Amino acid sequence: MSPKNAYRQTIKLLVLGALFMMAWKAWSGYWQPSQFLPQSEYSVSFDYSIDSAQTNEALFVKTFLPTSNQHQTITSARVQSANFTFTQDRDETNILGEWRGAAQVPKQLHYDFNYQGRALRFHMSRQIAHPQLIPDSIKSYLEPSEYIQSDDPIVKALAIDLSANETKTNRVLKHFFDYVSDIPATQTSELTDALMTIKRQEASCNGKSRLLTALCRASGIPARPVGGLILENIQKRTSHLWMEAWVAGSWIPFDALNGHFAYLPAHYMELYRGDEFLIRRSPAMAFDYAFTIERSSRYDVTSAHSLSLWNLLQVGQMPVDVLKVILLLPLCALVVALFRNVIGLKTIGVFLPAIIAVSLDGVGLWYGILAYLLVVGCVGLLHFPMERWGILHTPKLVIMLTAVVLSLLLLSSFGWATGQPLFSMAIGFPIIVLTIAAEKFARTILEEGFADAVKLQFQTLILTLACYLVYQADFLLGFLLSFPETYLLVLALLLILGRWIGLRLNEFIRFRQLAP
Amino acid sequence: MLNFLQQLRQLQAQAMGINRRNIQLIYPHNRRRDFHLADDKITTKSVLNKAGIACAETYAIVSSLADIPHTLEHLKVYKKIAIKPANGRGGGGIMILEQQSIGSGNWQKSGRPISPPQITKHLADILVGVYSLGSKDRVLIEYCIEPHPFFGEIYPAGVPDFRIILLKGEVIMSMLRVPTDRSDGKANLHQGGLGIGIDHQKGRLTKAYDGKSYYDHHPDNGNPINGRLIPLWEETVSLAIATAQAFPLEYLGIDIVLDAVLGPLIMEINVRPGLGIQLVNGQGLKQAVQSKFAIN
Repeated sequence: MSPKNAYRQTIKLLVLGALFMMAWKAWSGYWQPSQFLPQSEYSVSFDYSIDSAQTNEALFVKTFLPTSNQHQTITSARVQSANFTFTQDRDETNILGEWRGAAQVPKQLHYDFNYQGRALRFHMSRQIAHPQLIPDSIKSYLEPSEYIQSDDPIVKALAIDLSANETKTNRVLKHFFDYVSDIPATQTSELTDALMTIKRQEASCNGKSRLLTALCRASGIPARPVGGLILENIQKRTSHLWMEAWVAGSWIPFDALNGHFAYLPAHYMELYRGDEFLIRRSPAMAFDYAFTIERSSRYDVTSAHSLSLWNLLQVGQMPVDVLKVILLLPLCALVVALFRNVIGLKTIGVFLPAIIAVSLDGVGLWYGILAYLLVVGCVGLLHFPMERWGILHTPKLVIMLTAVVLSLLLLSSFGWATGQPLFSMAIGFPIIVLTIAAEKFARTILEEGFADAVKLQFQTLILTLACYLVYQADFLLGFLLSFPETYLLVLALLLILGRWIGLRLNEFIRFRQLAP
Repeated sequence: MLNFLQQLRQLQAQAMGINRRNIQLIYPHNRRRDFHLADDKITTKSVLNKAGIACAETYAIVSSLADIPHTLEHLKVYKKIAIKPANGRGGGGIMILEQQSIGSGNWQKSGRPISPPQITKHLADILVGVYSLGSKDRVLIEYCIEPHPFFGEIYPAGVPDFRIILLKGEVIMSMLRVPTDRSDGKANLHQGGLGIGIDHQKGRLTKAYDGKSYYDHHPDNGNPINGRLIPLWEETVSLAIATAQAFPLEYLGIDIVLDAVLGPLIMEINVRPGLGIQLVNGQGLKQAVQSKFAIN
């Protein structure tokens, strides 16, 4: 076989192989986007303790329980009842769990489960007219309630004032949202109703959500509060309240306290809908509660295809961060190759941008870039006195390496001292890589001048950003875990790129004078 | 818009980019294991000497720090010397030294005295690889060219050189590189030097190019350039062709200087000659290659 033929056959084989494996997996029903990397995964425990009781009557504790939907998946739910009976009562929107039993104290009650969340972003059409046609089945979400006084003249007047002349639902919602968002936030856990929120002009999540709900209802948009927990890696007692508005058949989430407009973050766990209390209990007892939340690294790999890489994520096999770097490095390198050979960017080192991008993942984008520029710039300048003093090459490099270490330590201590935790992450930068970058920077200044050196640095940063975006795209990681045969396509693409003889983008500009 | 796309297509049809140069010119014509013949100036000269091709006389080669003292002693018999890293790039690390009276050892660099420790430091820098991307290197010390008076008529300072690009022994394109006021005696294009196109059939200079615009005269002093007849051009071209035949490399950029006394001398050869020569000549290299050989 001639080399040219072998080359073509190899590419064909790679592409067909990849497509065949993908098609086969998809055919056997493996294509399930929900199996892609969960954005948030937590183990959550509701802990209740009854320490003493002042009554002989039966005691009860009621709480809403989370349920699986398109936003969240609840698995491995377990209940510990300690001789109480535990019942679940399900209605249209909520599940209410109830422990009930004789007054024998103390008692520890637990409900624990695993939570996987996916962020949801909603697109609201700009075409939806205001007011909308409301089906009878949801007209109840227009009714006022005890704390959501949508029939109060003050609320009504405010709603009319804010939505004046608007004829599109999304605009009306935006005005309401902006108004409520602008109300100063407080930390109070006291119950605040819609009317109090207007009058006091300060509120926590529950006041803001009730007011936003009331404004919607007053202007004919069905709305309801949603209660839940913001999951963080801590033990907490605070629950959260946000709301949903009904727009053209969908319930769209809004959190005016944290500025989420038509967006539900992955770590917002939904527990109930409606203006309810998360916990209700017998009054005559000493009661305490806490929510224990742990970020978990467990992945449900039971359904994973044997020809995928999800199994690597099973506990103890490989940390997801490490796997991420390994899996995405070839993709970043592909991006580097494209930028160099098709666009014509020049960078410091071929893979330096990919390596810096990995470090940025830990340090944070802007702090990371700032730290990188500070270190490379300052250490690079050391080159000049040493050049003048005639320091030999190897000792000079070691001096620069030492300076890199010192400046990283300095940046980190500065970070700890000023409470800029991200600066303190600067220590995670690869030291050798920074040293080489600094040396190369200085050498370029000497050989090509300062302007060219800055240009080179700038191009390196552009490519670093491109690589960073690749690292940030969780769906890419999920896709690679499910379909590792994607690498065959990457190889085929690189083989094609390797024989591509077209002018690079920058050459079109460089040689433009040759055009007739 | 359509017009613009057409221009892009025409540019693509004429100009040679790095991708195409590597895939169609360098890889098939230059074997990687032969690259060192061109990259290392000392190796290049040994090939040239064996083939009897004119180049600057080698005065000394320094391979280790221990060679430095007796080399410095030995060099005192020369009036003017050029010190070069064997694996340097783009003229980096080149130092020209001159002594007023032969045998004194009182060397001067651009008219200023330079002490033996300073020279030793420079030689040591070259040896440890400061000018060769960090790998160990050797120092070549050779005869320093006296430029042919022809060049003084264009620009009085520095050493201009010809760059001739050959494919399989055929001249594809050539240019003359001349220093300018802002290039600090250097003739390399990206260091601010002036490139002058050459009509290699007629042996005449054409327009000069400084990276931005084209001139008929040297932009610094107004000396006429376009149309000037190049002295010893035929000899220069034959020397380039002989050089190409002496090496197993088929695609080459050969740098030739014109010495006032010795005539054309090979300075160095390049296996990856730059693409700026197309701009200097106002002609695409792809087109120039296609006029002699069939490439697609």
